[in-house]
This record gives sequence, structure tokens and C-alpha cells, in this order.
Amino acid sequence: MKPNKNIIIFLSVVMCWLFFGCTEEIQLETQDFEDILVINANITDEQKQQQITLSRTFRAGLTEVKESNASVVVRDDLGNNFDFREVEPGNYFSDVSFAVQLDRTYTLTVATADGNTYNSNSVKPISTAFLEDVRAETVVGANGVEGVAIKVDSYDPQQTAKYFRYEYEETYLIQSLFNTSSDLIVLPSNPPQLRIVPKTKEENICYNTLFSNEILIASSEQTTDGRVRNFEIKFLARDDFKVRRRYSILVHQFVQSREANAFYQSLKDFSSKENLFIQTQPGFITGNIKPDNRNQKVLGFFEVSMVNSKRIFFNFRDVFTDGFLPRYPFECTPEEFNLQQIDVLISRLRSARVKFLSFDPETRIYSIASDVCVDCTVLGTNIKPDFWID
Amino acid sequence: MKLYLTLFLFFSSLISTYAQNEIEVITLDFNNETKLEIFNKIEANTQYRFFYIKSWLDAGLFSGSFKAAPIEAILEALFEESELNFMVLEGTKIILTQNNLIHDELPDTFFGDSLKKSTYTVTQINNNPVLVNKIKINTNANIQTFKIGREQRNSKKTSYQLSGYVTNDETLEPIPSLTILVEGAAIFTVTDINGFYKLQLPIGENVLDFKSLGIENLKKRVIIYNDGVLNVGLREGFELLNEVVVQADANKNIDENIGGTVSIDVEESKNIPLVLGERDVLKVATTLPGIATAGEGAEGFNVRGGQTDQNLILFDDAVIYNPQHFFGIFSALNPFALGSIKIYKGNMPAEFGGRLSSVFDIKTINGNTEKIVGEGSVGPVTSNLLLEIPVVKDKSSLIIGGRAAYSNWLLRSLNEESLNSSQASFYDFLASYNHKINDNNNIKVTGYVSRDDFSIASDSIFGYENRLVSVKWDHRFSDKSSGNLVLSNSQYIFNIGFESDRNNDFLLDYQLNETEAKMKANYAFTPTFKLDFGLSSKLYTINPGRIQPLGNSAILPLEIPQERALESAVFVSRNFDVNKKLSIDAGLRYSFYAALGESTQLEFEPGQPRNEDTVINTLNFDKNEVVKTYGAPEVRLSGRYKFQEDLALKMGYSNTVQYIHRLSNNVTVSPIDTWKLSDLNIEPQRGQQLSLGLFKNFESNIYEVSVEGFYKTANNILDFKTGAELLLNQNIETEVLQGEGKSYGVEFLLAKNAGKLNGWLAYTYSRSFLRLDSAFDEERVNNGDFFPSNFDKPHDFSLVANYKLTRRYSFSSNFVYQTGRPITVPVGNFTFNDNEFVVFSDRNSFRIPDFIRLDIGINIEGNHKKQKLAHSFWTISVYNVLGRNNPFSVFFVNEGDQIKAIQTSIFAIPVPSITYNFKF
Repeated sequence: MKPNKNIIIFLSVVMCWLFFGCTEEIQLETQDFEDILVINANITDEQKQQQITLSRTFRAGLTEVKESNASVVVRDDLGNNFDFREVEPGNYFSDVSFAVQLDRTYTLTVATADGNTYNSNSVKPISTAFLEDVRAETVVGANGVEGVAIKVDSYDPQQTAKYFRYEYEETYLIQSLFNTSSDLIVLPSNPPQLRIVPKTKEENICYNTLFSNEILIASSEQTTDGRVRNFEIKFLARDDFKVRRRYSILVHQFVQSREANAFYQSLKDFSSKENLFIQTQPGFITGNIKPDNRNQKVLGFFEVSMVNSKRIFFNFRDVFTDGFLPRYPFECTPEEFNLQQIDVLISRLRSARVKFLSFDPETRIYSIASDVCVDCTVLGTNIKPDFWID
Repeated sequence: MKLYLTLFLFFSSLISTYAQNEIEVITLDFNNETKLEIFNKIEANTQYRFFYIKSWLDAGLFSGSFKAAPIEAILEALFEESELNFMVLEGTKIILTQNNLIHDELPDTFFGDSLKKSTYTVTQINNNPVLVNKIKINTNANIQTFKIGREQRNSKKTSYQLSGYVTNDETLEPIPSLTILVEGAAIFTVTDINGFYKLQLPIGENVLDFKSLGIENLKKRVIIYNDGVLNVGLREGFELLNEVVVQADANKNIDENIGGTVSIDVEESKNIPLVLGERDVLKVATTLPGIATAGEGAEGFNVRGGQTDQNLILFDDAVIYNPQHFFGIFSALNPFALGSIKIYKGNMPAEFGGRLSSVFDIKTINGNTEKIVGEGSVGPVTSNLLLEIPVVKDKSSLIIGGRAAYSNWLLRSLNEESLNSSQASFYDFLASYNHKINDNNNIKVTGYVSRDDFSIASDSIFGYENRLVSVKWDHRFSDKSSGNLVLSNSQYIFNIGFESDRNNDFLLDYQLNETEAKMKANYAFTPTFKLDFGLSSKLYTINPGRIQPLGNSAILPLEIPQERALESAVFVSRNFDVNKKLSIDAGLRYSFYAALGESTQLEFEPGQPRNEDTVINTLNFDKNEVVKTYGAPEVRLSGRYKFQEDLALKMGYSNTVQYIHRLSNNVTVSPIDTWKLSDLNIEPQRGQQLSLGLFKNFESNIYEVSVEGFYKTANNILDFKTGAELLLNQNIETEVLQGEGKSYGVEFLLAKNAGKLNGWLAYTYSRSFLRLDSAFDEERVNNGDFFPSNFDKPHDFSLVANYKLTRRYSFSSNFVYQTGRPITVPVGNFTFNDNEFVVFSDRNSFRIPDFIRLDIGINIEGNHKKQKLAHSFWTISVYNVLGRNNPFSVFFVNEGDQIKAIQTSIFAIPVPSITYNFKF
């Protein structure tokens, strides 16, 4: 709970108005760049090949650098070693699938190719907790925007689990604006000829899945019954393309230790908009992983957690009973071409950014539209996910 | 100064003696002639003779035609635009004086009240007639002689009573507890709270020695023939090291600044341009060397590289925890009510303690006891009014002052929907009653409240409040002893409320309360051995946080247990005059602190980092059971060596202990920072300071120059683990780091205290460092090395200048240059859970750009007609004329998976304002 945040935003605005103060973006070059190993390790009680990601810090404006060829091992207090292998650059998966046990403690050891070794403190999962409810509620969000909020309730009857972190995977159904059955192809003849052919793939209904990349943490410390209630993990505006048809969200709830929570809180605090006056003192965030060589630094947290997941589905009309469906968010005005304009049509078709709509045999006019209006595979996959329930 | 006063006494007495002489009239024409030429002309044509110093005469030309005019008329016309004044003595001698030396310094009480009431006849005659020569020779060391009383031939009395008032020349306030002893005789007395004394002197010649702490020692020769009155004005001495006196009342003398004490007449500099026309004496103080803030919009003061929680801010002897409104932008002290502000930057007197860096001793005025007077201002943000109401004529007076901001109205009128239903307001209210019961007793009661409120449209409410009340009883026990008793209570409260339609509404409270009793007295054992001593005891009660659910909220009510502690001290101090040149002030204070139950304290495994896993024991303490005690002797030592009358070297050493700490893990402090008492796990902060300074005055004290260096160290300075959560944390000791502080610097001040152009130039070079070291990684910052503190600004330059164009128009300007303060910056980016973050450097390894600001102001006095309802003036000012976008902070935002650096500044453009002030 951060009661300050709203005040902060408010004050910044007031200050700007009242006192002509302003905020502006400035270019600040990375000062004295430090090359630091970043370890993202969260192993859970889900029976699977656990994953650990290694990367390095990079200069602002550049892209991420993966850490390859490291040796990654997780040990438990019974002497079991779980070796991890690099499957793709920077992504290490355990050789065997395993699940975290509640009464075991675990340590992580990473040895990088440059000869440095990093060890975590021994970590024990806290407790299991219920992900009691995940629901979609119609709300009026910030700035008076109507939308749907995805809210969760978490609960540990024993009240040992107090800190929670959430991740989600959202999947939404995409229905193309125009549902057509044929394609218009350009035959490689000379001069080029046009031919209308039946579609070879599903282009009307598709699905797209996105993963959360926000830090979503909550605590039940200050609630009466140890419950986290109404924690909003996602807000979707009414006109959000994702909720236009059918939407599904899978929420993972991880039970965290206080230290892990503090680590994530710091990450979040140091990168969110702070007020002019209340500015958290930033600094290097020390996790629970230590370098053997004291001159090295390491970023990251070895988290061992019990996970609970829940998925919900809803249609647009389930949450917004009145009013119009949101507009299709792309420009979909059909373009028409008569026989004299066939050269233009061919070049447009060759650009592959348009799809065939119709051909009127009487007027001999071809209609095309932008591909995003016709072919949903541009926006997602036409393979229905296994979990999908219509 | 003393000299001029004496001269003035002399002149005045002569005037009365010779007032009955015939008046010679003059007929003369002057055509563009200098004053020198005019004097020569008058001397050639009349019997008048002028006595003056040539350097006083300006080059201005004068024209005029006089027919049968008295000399006074000619000279009044001649001197109208100049600083010169004149007196006609013995009918023909015209003595010129510089205006300010007489008019500004003559206390009303000097001849007025005290003499009127007196039944004694008084004649004061200087035995040295060579006036002009005397000024030239500047024989300060000479002892002035006064003849008291008319000799009565028939009298058989062998002793007569001498009485009078001793006042401070600069502040015109009475000097209590001053020892007056008669050389070579066992006769002495001590002045009472009103500076009044009575002495029985043997007939004939006596040499009186005036001695007091902080006052320059002075001797006067008195030849007494009868009962009489001798009022004495003394100036502040060299003894108080590192003291800055900011005075806030009109007509106070400004030209006396003898080393060590810097006095700035805030009235004189009332048109120093300030934010939105709001007068703020504390802001003026920050233009002096050694006193700084972290930046615009940063609360609190950093004195000589100290933390903001290390300042003891006393308002009529009660502690005020947050003397600022609106995040430090406005002062919460009613400027019209302030009598004096003394800031001890280092060597605080032994009577003060409990903070490491400084003491701001703020006193309200005593109200007018004769008629109702008032003062007020109307500005763009606030309106302010102060009334002085006599209750019992000549004995007691009530002052009532209030100020309120109308920013609510401002917010609503803004064309921004989200702000229309928001509120931001503040007010402060003050009432003080002073009653002079008799010559031996005086009581002053002060009450004060200030409050700030913010609220966000249907969301959060937020407020903080200071409340204090103090009662001070001054009492004179005997001729040899006087003292005072102060009872005070202060409160600091803040609350945060969150109200939305969700079920996580809450109200959070923080409350700090302290009650202190302090007794201070002095006793003169022998004429040369006077001791100041006292004791004080303070009870702290802190309710560090309570959260309550609102409505059907699911928030768990939580209350962090109350903290209580008793802080007591005994102190004693004495001033030794080793010889005329060397004077030493020695003070000793013993402070004793006891953290009291009811309380639960955690005991941690020794040699392990403090966290929840290393708790080995939970100790429970009953109500009033002593949890932990700390105590320490504190030394306050300062000395002065006077090479010449206007050149002194001063040195000081002091150590201090602080038992209460402000918890802040923000870059700058905020009003919702909590204060925490020392306990089993949090040790008191301890500091010591060594300083050395050279002080020199020039040109009869019009110019003063000082250079002062200091070196400070401190232990157990509180800091926090990175990312610590401090509010409502039940185990705050697991987040606390205690480290070492170190600061040093050189302060330079050049002030011109009089003339059409006056002001000061202050430059400080100083550094301030912090070290947080530990055997454990989690308790170490920057590898355990010293790093610059958040307010380490090596170069700090201020120039304040006022120029009086005419009596009605004056200009002022204020220029500030400061090194940008240190910040912590990213040293790289990284991705974590598909989102980009920054990794921060070692703490404070980079600086924001330098701070440069120029403000200008014009002060327009109303006309000077006497028959007028109120005296008024307008202040027009422009803050940040250069429009420089001085960054206050740089922070980093993650937007669209990318890190952006955002610079904020508070006053990025020139801010004009106009304020109307009135006085009646």
C-alpha cells in the first residue's frame, strides 16, 4: 500500500499549475556505465522445467545483452542438484522438471563464463495461499474513462502468506472486420493476371496472447482478515481492442517473502513517477544473491514461491451491456479499382499490405482493404489455444 | 557606537543648557555650491563655526536663497537629501553628525520614559570638550566620565543612589543579568529582567564595570554628587561564536556588527524579493553563510552540512517541528510577529541541546502597551494581519496574528477539471500575551498553530499541523540573581486519508507531543564570578502511526505502539575575562535520556545484520519502565582574542547529543516524515564541532568582514536500507542504518550595513559527507566509503543588495549561485520480467546542474503625510528574473518499457508578484 502515490501525482500537477514549475524530459547519458549480471530466477511449485534468465546491464538506448554459457544450479537442503541448461541465449531451463516443496530450502549458484560465481541465500517458500477470485468489473477509471478492471482476491487462512506478486497472460479473440472466403492473387504471368482463389487459412477468427511486464505486488498486512481484496491488476478501457470480442486472462499468484516484496517494491519505486517533493532515495538494489568476488555486483532475486493460477473469460457484452461495440481500431475503408486501374491494384496486392474483399462482375470493380481488416493472422494466431472456451 | 552615544548625551545636555541663547539670523544666497563652500561662506559671514569630518560631505550642489533665516532653516534645507544631521551648540558651534548614528540608535526609552518617570534630577556632563578631535582619535579605550547630580553643599550623605536601565544598543532590548561592579569596592549589582539596576555609590569618583555574557565589557567613570540616573547602552560582545542575528523589527540598528554576530535587519530588507511576495525571515537566513536548504521546495535547513533534523527551532521557547508551509515554499511564521531570530550555527549556549547542528531561537515581539497598532499584508497567495492590543496600559499587551492562504480559490478558478474539486490551503495563527507584573516579574504566554491541508478530488486528504504553547515567567530574586521558568508543549501531527469507493479506505495518523519544563537562573557569587545555570526536562510522547479503516473498508486497524522518553539536562556556564583581549565562555551540559515503556523491543543476535531472522529475543517493558538510558556530558567552549577594537579572532569547540531522529528515506524531507526516539536499538546521534574565525569591521562598523572555518563530525546519523518502508513499519530498527557524518567549510561574509546601498555578500565553500559502513552488505552503502550527502553543495554564493533611491522608492535584488546538489543516477539499464529498469549508481555520484537565480524587487512606500489612516507600501517583485530552469530533481520513469529521465523544476519562469502592506 502506498498512500503517497496519489498525493504525489496530485501535488506535481498542483505545483505545475500554481507555481509554474514544470517537468520536462531530458537526455541524460549513462554515467560511468557499470556492467552487472542480472539474474531473474523464480522457481515455483508448478511441476515443470523451471526457467532462469540471465542478462547483463546495458547502456541506455541499446538493447538487452544476454548472458550465455553460464553454469546454473539450484540445490535443495536434501542435497538434490537441479542443473539448468541454456536453451536459447540467456534462457536457462532445468534439465528435469521439478516442483518446489514447501518444507525445503533452496540455493542458487550461477557461475558465469568470465569466472565469477554468484550464490543466493538459502530460500524457503513461504506458504500456499488461495487465489480466491479473479473477476472483471466495469469501472470508471482515471480521467473518467469507462472500462473494465481485472481484480483479484488473495487469501491465506493461516495468514503466513502476506506478500503477493502477480503475473498474467491475457488472450483475446480477434474477429476480422470483413469476413471473406476468397483471396485475390497475382499470377506470375506476363502480363500479370489476377485470379480469385479460395482462402487457404482461417483469417476471420484469431487469438493473441500477451504477457504482463508490470510489477504487480500486494500485501495483506493491513487488512482485517489477511485477505488481499480487490487488487486491480489490469485496467482495459472500453474501446480497447482486446475486449472488443472475447477476452481471457490467466492470473498467476506468487507468494513472496518480505525481502522479495521489498526488492520488487524498490524496483517499482525507482522507476515510477515521483513527486517533486517526495522522492524516494534511489540506490543500488541489493537482492539475496551475492557475488563471491566483492568487487562484482549482481542484480536480481532468487525467488522460490508457491503459485496459484486462475483464468477467466468474458465477452464485451458481459461487461458492457449497453452502447455500441467499440470501433474497429484500424482504417478499413475499401479501395475500389476498375479495369483501367488494374496496374495500381497489382502493385498494391504485391505490397502484401492489402487483402481482397470482393469483385463485382457487373461493374467489374475490385474492392480491397487493409490486411488488418480482413486477415486476423496479422494480429494474432489462427490456432485456437487449448484452454480457450467459447 | 558607544562613543557617539556618549557624544549625543553630551550634546543633548548642552542643547538644553544653551537653548536660551539669542538667535542670529542670516541672509545669504547659494548658487550650485558644495557643502564645503557653503560652510565656508557661512563661517565668513557669521559667527557660526562648523565641526565635521570632511569625508562625510558629498559632492552634491545646493542652491537657495535665504533672507533673515535662522541657521537651522538653512541647514535643514541643505541637508535634506543627505545623511547629515546637525546640532547648534553654545549658540555658534555647529556640530555635524551622520544621521544614522544618532537617529537610528537613540532609544526612545533613553531619555523618554525612564527619565520622565524618574524623580531624580540628572545632569550628564562630559569632561572632555575637544569633540572633533575625539572622534578623530577614536580613543575607544578611554573610560567615559559622567557627572551625576548637582552637588549639594549642605548634604552630609556619603553615598548616593545611582539607578538606570542597561539596554542593548543594537536591539534596544534591556540586558538582564548584567553585573555592574564598582572597582576597588565591594559594591555590585545585577540588572533585572528589564535591565534596571540600582547601586549605592560613595560620593565622588567611582569606576563602574559592566559585565555580562555576550555583551562587550565596558567601564564608565561616574562622579556622583547626588542621587541620579545613568542609562547605559551596551553592544553585543565577541563571546558568542557563530551566531547570526536576524532581526525583524524596524528601526533596529544595523551598523553594529562586531565579529561573531551578524545582524541583519529584516525590516530594512523587507523588500528582498521572495517567492510570490511572501516575506520570509527564514529564507533571508538562508542567504547567510552556512545556512542552506536542499533546494527550492525542499523543507528544512541544512546548517553547516548538518541534516535537517538537527536544528532546534524554538518559537518563544517551544519547539516547532515544521516552521514551513507548502513543502518549504512559505514560512509558517508570521513575519510581523517576529521580534528576533538568533541562529547559533555551531557553538550553541549550554542551555540549549538535543540537536546537533543549530539552534534557531525565534522570539515574538512584545506588543505595544499604549495603543492598538496593527500590520498587515495582502499578497497573491496569502493575507496576513497582526494586531497589538494593550490590555493594562504600560503593563501588558496581547498580540494576535493570523494568516491564511487562498489557494483554494486559485485552484478552483483554474481551467483544469481535475483540480476544481481539489484543495490546497494553509493557515497559521498566533496569540501572545506579555504582562509586566512589576520590576521583578514578567510573564509571557504564547500559543501558536499552523496547518496545511491538501486534498485530491474524491481521493486522498492530507494534512499536517504544528501546535505549541509556552509560558515564560521571568523573575528577579535579588540584586544578585534572576532567572526564568519556561513551560512549553509542542505537537506535530500529520494525517493521510484515502477515500474512494473501494474498500481500502483508511485514515492514518501520526502524532508527536513534547512537554518541557526549563528553569534557568544566574547568581553572582562575587563581582567577578557570575554563574548561569539551569535544568530542563522534556517528556516525549510519540504515536508513530495508526491506520483506521473508513466505512466498510477491509483495512486492518493497526496502531504502532506509543513511544515515550524523558530527556533531561543540567547546564552551567560562565564567562571569564582573562584579560582585556582574551575572553572565554565555558559551558557544560549533561544530558540524560531514558526511553520509557510501555514498549516492546527486539533484541538482535550480536554480530549479525539486523533483520527479522536475527531477532533472538523480544523484550517487553511495562509502563514507565526504563527501556534504555543514554547520557553524555556536552562541552561548550568558545574564546575570543581581540587584537584591536575592531579585529578579533574567535575559536570554539562544542559537542552535542541528539535523541530524536527524523526518519526520511526521501532525497529531501517531507512533512510526512516521522520522528523516532532513540531506544534499545537506535542510538542517539552525537556530534562535535571545531570552528575558528576572524572578524574585522571597517569604517565605523559600516562594513564588516568575517571569515570562519569549521570542521564537524557526527556519529550515528540515521539512514536507511535502500528501498526501506518507513511509514507504519513496526520494526523500523531493521531498516535503520546508523553512520558517520563529516562536514567542513569556510564561510565568508562581507556586509555593508548602512547607506543608500546596503546588503551583503556571502560565500561558503563547504562539503558534507556521510559514511554508512557495516560488516554486512545489506547495511553498507557505497562500499562503506564517505559519500556526499544529499545537500552537499560546495559553492554557495549569495548577494543581497538594497538601494534606496528616494525615501519612497527602493530597489533590491537577490542573486544566488549554488553548486547543483548530488543525485544518484542510473549507470545502466536492464530488463526484468520483460520490462526495462535502471540500475542506480553508488549513492550521490552525480550532480544536477548548478542553481542560479536572480530576483529583483521594488518597494514603494506610501506618502509620508502624517494625518493618514495607515502607513502603507507596495512591494513588487519578480522571482527568478532570468527565467532559468533550475532543476530541483531528476528522476527516472519507466514509460512504454523505456526509461526516461525527467527533470523537474519549481519556478521555471520569472514569477512576478505584488503585495500590499500596511501598518496602523
